[in-house]
Amino acid sequence: MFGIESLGGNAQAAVLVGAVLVEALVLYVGYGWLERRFGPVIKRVLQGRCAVLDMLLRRCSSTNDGGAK
Amino acid sequence: MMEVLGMSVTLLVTFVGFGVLIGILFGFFGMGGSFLVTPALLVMGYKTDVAVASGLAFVFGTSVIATLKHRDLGQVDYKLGVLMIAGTTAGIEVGKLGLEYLQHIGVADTVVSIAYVLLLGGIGAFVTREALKGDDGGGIDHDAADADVDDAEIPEIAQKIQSYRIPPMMSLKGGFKASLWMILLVAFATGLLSGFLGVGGGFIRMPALFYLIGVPVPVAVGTDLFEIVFSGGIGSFLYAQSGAVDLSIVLPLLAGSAAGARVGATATSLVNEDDIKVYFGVMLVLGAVAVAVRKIGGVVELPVLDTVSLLIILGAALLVSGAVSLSAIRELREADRDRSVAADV
Repeated sequence: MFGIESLGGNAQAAVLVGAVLVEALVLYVGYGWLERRFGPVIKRVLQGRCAVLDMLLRRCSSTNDGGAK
Repeated sequence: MMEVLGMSVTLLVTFVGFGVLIGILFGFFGMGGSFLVTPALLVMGYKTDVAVASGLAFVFGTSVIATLKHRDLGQVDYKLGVLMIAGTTAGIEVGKLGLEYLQHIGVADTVVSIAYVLLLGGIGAFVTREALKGDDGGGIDHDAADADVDDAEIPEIAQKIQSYRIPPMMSLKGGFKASLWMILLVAFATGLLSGFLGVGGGFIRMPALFYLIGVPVPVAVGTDLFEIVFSGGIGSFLYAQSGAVDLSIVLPLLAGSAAGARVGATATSLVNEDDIKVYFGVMLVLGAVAVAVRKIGGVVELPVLDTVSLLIILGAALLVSGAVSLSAIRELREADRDRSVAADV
């Protein structure tokens, strides 16, 4: 399916393990960016300082209590 | 029905969701991958070699992500990790010899099954009992990785092992020293069990690092994960040579576990150490029950027990990862409330 079935044993193994490693690194960087971008807002929601609806409506900043009850 | 990576969207979403669940446990405990994924894939009808190989490749990918996250939190002791890899590798080779001998005399399956269940259940019960005994309701140990550990916080056996000052002595994260030889001995013993049982051994190594060497729990988890990167990578490579790794299983699982592992790893720096141990112990005890049920199913030839076993393990995973997440949120709220009170004073 991924076009690597035609490769020999060691080459196929290296490509498969390499693909998993690359995906892991890409996900680490990607989710890291998401965490930095949205982490503070999500943290405020989890702390109960901002309502979920306010977060979705982007009324929840990290500098005010935006809708905190 | 729409298909992505050659599988239905429903299956894809199931794999991603399952990945999130395993990722939380893996990032939080430094174990649980092969424990959960392989049996699930077997019950879903995948061939044994594909289930084992894809499970290993998935564990490798998740351990890379979880280790990087623990590194960000300062919870990986690389020096200790390298020593553990050396000692564990030697131990695994000797353990495999023991297993081969048992296979030769025809009792391997029975002995390994019983030993596995007893070890899982035994370690689980021990860790839970010790954590409940030592639970003083104390605060959160956020800085365990950086702070010097108080002698009272180090388990008795670890204090005894640290007292053998056979040079060279190694300085470890947590501000204490242990003999290189004692570390190698502990690593060898954990590898021996791991090779004998034919398992990854995260459930043996994490408590061994804490109870025998005295490493703070978050560092024990991070260092254990660092070791799994290597064992998982080598294991995946060996299985991938025969083409048994199925990327259409691994990629969606990893997409989910990458998010879960971040949550789990972050939770180790929020949740009280004793709570981590209780969750770990409960997970192992329920895991032991699940493995026992599966083994009994094999002996009495009742395949439905495989499904019962999987349901127990999935239920346990769901319960424990939910408890971990709620516990982390509670600690986050308490810390925020304490800060607000302090600011008001």
